[in-house]
Amino acid sequence: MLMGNYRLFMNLIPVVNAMQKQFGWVFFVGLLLVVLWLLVGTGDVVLAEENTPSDDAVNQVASELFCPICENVPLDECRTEACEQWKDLIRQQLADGWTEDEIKAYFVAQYGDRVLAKPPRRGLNWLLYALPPLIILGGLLLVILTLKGSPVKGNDNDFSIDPYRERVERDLVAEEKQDG
Amino acid sequence: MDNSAQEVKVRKSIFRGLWGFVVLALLVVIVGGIGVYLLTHQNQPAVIGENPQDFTLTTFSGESVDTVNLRGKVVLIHFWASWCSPCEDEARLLEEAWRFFQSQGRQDIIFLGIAYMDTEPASRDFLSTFGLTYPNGPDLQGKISNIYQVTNVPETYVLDQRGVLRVVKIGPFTAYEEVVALIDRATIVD
Repeated sequence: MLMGNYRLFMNLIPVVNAMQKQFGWVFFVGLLLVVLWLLVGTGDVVLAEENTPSDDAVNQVASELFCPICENVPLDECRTEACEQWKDLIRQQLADGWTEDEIKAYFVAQYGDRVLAKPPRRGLNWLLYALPPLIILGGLLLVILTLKGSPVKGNDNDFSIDPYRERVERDLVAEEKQDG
Repeated sequence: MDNSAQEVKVRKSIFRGLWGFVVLALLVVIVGGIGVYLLTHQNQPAVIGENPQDFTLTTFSGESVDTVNLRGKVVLIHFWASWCSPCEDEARLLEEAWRFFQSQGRQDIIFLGIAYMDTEPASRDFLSTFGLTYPNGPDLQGKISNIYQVTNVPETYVLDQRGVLRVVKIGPFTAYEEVVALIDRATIVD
């Protein structure tokens, strides 16, 4: 790479000399201006590229939010104009150095808790987290209690469970003996 | 099997039954309680002929407008968004109507534009593009749209001088005269 640049530089010397003879110092000033423009111009482009957050970074934040106008669609998967505007704003905020939490706080302040994919654990929202396991536990408890209370299957000869059945079985055996 | 063993079995069975009943009752109370709470605390949509809840709008220019202070005026509340295409044509009509009333010296009429689920930069661009001069502001935390149960934009609500909801218009206006007619319909004539 370095050798290549060196050869290119050496090859350019006669060309530069010829141009300088032809156009004098005006050529050098012009060359200097072109080099300066290239440096400053490309520098801006590089800087802008560094400051522009990637789509992945924007979608990472967007996945934590819901589309403002569609039902139950995460912002990162939404393609409506409203969603695109929100994502543009997220991109701008990331470029300005905002953290993910700051961006989410901004959106909550503007549009309310309903834009969050995961509702904050406060107030009535606690029910969303507490209720499902509570209902599952209650259901399990009910199933266990019901199973424990039901007669054991496969033990039909245990007459002691039901006194009435015990008597019927005894009478049947006695009747069979009489017949026999 | 002796009677005491049977009694123990019966007691155990009753005990299990009671526990089952308690657990079931608890579940019913919890789920039912939540259902009742949600039903009683849910916002009802604004009804024509009734006074909707008052609200304060902080406009994009920082001015604060409280509807409770607008009694005596006909208030046109318009929900819009910069991402809503029909809102663009409508913005021109509304501005035209607003300027008409202003030119007539009708200080008893006020328009309030509410940007619904919109980003602030996009809203500001929209206002500047269509040169809207009546008060416009964001619907912070969706509180205003919640009062009117707005589901989409554009939607327009007109309150009479007593703050009673008189007209509901779902969808865009198609002519400037339509806006003027709605204001006339909502105006109480002494």
